[in-house]
Amino acid sequence: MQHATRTDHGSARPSKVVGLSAMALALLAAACGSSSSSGGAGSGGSVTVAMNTTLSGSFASFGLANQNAVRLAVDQINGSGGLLGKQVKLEIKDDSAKPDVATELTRTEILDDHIVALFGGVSSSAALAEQTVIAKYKVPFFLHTSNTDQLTVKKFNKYTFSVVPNTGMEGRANAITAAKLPYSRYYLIGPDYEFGHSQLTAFKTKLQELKPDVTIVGEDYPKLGATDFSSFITKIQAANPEIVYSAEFAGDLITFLTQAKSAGLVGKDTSPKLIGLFDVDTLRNLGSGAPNGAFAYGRAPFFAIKTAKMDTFVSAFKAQYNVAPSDWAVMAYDAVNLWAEGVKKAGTFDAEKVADALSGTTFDSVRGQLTIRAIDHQLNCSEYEGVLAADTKVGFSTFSATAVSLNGNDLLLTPDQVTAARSSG
Amino acid sequence: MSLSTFFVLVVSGLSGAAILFLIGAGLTLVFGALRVINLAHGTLYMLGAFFAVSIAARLTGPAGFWIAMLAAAAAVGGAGGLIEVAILRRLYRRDHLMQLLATFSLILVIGGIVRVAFGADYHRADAPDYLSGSLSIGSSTVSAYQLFLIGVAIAVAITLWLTIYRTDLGRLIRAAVADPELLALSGVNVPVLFTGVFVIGATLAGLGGASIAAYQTVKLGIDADIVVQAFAVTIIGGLGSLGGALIGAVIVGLVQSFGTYWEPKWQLAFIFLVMAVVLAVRPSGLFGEPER
Repeated sequence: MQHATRTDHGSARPSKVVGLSAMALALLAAACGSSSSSGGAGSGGSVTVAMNTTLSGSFASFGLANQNAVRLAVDQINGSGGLLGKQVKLEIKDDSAKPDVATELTRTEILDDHIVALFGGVSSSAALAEQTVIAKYKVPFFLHTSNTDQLTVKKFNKYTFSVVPNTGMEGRANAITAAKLPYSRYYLIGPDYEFGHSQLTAFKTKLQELKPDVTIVGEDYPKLGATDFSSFITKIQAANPEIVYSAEFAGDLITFLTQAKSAGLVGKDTSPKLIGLFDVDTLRNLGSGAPNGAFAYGRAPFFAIKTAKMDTFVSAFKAQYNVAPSDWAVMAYDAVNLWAEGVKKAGTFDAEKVADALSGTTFDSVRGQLTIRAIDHQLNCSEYEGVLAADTKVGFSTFSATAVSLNGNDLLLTPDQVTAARSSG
Repeated sequence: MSLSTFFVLVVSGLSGAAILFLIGAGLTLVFGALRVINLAHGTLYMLGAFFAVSIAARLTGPAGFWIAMLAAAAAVGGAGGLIEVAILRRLYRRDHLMQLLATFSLILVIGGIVRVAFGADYHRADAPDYLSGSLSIGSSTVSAYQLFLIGVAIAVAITLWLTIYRTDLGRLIRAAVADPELLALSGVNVPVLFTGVFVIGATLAGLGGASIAAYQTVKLGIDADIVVQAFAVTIIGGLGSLGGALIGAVIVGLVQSFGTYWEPKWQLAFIFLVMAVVLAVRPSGLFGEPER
């Protein structure tokens, strides 16, 4: 809402009413910064950890899944006697996907509540802001949903750990899949913030490397939370691509798909193909309205991951919340357990020692045995892809029948590339 | 640009204008008669969208969509009546700042209630099959839903025009706009009239929200977006002028549609560029009169 103040400049000689309206707009802008808070400091037999995630707006479904999973993980830890004999207290706050709110929350949690670990949230922009704060105060920081690769590459610090395939890994995974498809005219669309730009760039770079004859006929970044995609859809139709690559997600993806179907861009025999980010929650929300036949990618869909730990987690999650966990729940759950693993290994909650214990460690995640690389503290987790189809077993469209996992080791930057990217400034 | 693309952008622009008109008409009507700048007008729109989604989810059959839309609009109208009687009525003699603070706090209160009642997650509703696809008109493929939105706005515009200029109620509303004190002296129950006007405004906002519930995801925060745009529309058209709201909405809708097509990076700026140009030429808006 930065544009709100422009009304001041808009009027040459504003009448009283126009001036008041400008004030009104400024008030509205201020409303977006509010947030809730709750107390709770670590003392005696307990330690406090916090998660700042997004519990309202376009991202809310992700944040709510994060919240449910982290609560479950912490309850399980406490139920089995706590960590190093201490109970874990959990604070969850809404960062409204805003970097300034996230910064303020993080500072309060560290200085007032003395948290021993911070779990990230949904927005990459918010995560980048939090990362600066945790580096200053030395608090272990676990990323499970926000995933710009800046967090682990250029802005890396030893307290930051990522258990989500980062934008680089995700973009490259999708490029590997896309390069095998018989299409060469691409249109790219993604949300206009850190994640969208970063992921689309990774996809484009890798795709052009693997398949030099592709043409990018257009590339657009609608604002995050956009409610009207119609002009973008018209642009895509006018550019006549063979396939549309989308990094839109959740509520924005559903709005885009609804309006694309309405405009005839999706769902006709003549429609271009679609590659999109389809997480479990979005698929559940789409129900029978999912664009079956589209190429889907996801970060941790339970239906594509066959491990005993996943089965146990899905049962526990369903018992607690009556729904299957989304990708964002799976990864947030892994994040808490990774931290717990680090504390157990280090024998202390001390940030330096926990960070050292986790660097290079192999960890029994819900997604299998995975390793935190020493150079960037990025988990070598997979990206999961397939073709959307009705799934009577799960109850909504999934890509369980065609799911493949692209091994994280093939998606990570090489240590040399990481070093090169960091020194390029 | 091909002719068919041009036509599609015109339809898109007019469908955007349709929503802006529904919101802007209520805003400007309430301002014209009650002299209150209702910041919470967008929040009534959001309430309409949430009501429509939750009513639609409980109904089945082909008429569910229509019933949900009308019921949601009526429910928001009812909520508007309560708000007018309980809160706004006390503010007419206060200055604009008090009105802004009161209606601003309504945004927070209603937003909080929506969060508790519907959750912070996004919601969606299904449009009937005949509205969810596209139609071929000549060489163009246009959205059936956008045509529906335009139809709703045209129906509302005609109804409003007939109500204001062809009924007794309309004559009273016009009199209230012109001189509320004289109207009261002539024996008209002005408070009841004001409640009625606010209910009409709220119903229009609710109808706007209910109309888009099957065209975009419904979530907290859609009110802030739309009210900023609706204010811009009414300021461009001239606060208090229904015709101005219509023209303002059409201008803004078309400029946003074509502007976003040509230069997406500027998509947030177009509406304010239009406002700047209009206010530079006519400080009270296209059809506005200087503040009394």
